[in-house]
Amino acid sequence: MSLSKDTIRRWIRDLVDKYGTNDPYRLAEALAIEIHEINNGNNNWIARALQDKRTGIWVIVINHKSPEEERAFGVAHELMHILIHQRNPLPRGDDLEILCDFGANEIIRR
Amino acid sequence: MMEIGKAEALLNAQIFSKGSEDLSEHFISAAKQILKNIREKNNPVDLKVTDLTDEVIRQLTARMTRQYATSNPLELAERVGLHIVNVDDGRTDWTGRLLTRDGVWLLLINKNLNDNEYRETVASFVIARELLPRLSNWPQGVDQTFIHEVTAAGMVILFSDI
Repeated sequence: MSLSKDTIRRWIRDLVDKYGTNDPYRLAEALAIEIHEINNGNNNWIARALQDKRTGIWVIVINHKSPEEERAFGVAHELMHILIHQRNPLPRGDDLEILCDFGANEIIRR
Repeated sequence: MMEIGKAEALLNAQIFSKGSEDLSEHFISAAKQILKNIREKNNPVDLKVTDLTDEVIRQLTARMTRQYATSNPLELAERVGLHIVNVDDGRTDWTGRLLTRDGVWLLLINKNLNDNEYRETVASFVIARELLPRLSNWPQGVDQTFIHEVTAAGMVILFSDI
């Protein structure tokens, strides 16, 4: 069954209710996701999620050079990648990116 | 064998010395070729796991310390672009994990390590960070034990000034 926007909306509502915040940084902390800000001299990316499969640890890295106002959305977008990643089958390509953007908007505007 | 730093210094001194106009183009060209050969020997780009002798690791580590002018593992990590993320997951069965994506290199390091283990783990993974892009066949399922073993020879250089 494909992942619907309604399902994502419900996830976000439950998540925000459970942890009492819609701040993507605090949500990441609540979910034991490490946030790490870096500067690699490149300004064409905002945030990335990486997982170490052996330990299961997730890290969201944020580009220190990205505009500050875009970083919270970037973290929310990567949070959505991590949440969706647990699903099987995993949406791919553009569908995945559209769903992550949708979920990030849901987090930010709540 | 002449070390690369000495060869560079000698070549520069020859070229820019007062008598440089006496040097023939032929000499400079030959010297540059020798330097190139030394560089390639010290900076191999298509290593195989079977090439990873202690001597290769030592050369790689020594080159790194010269290039970045430090043998402090934490300073080296910063200079080679290896970002350290301290993780406290309550477990003690791992030391460090290397993650890379889109040119970003992260070292997850276990916060529960003692000071020596922490420093050695950083050193080990700094060497691995330099090594990995030069390897043509990093084996599947490589783990921290393998990295610690492979990089051990370089540790002597990084910790020689402590």
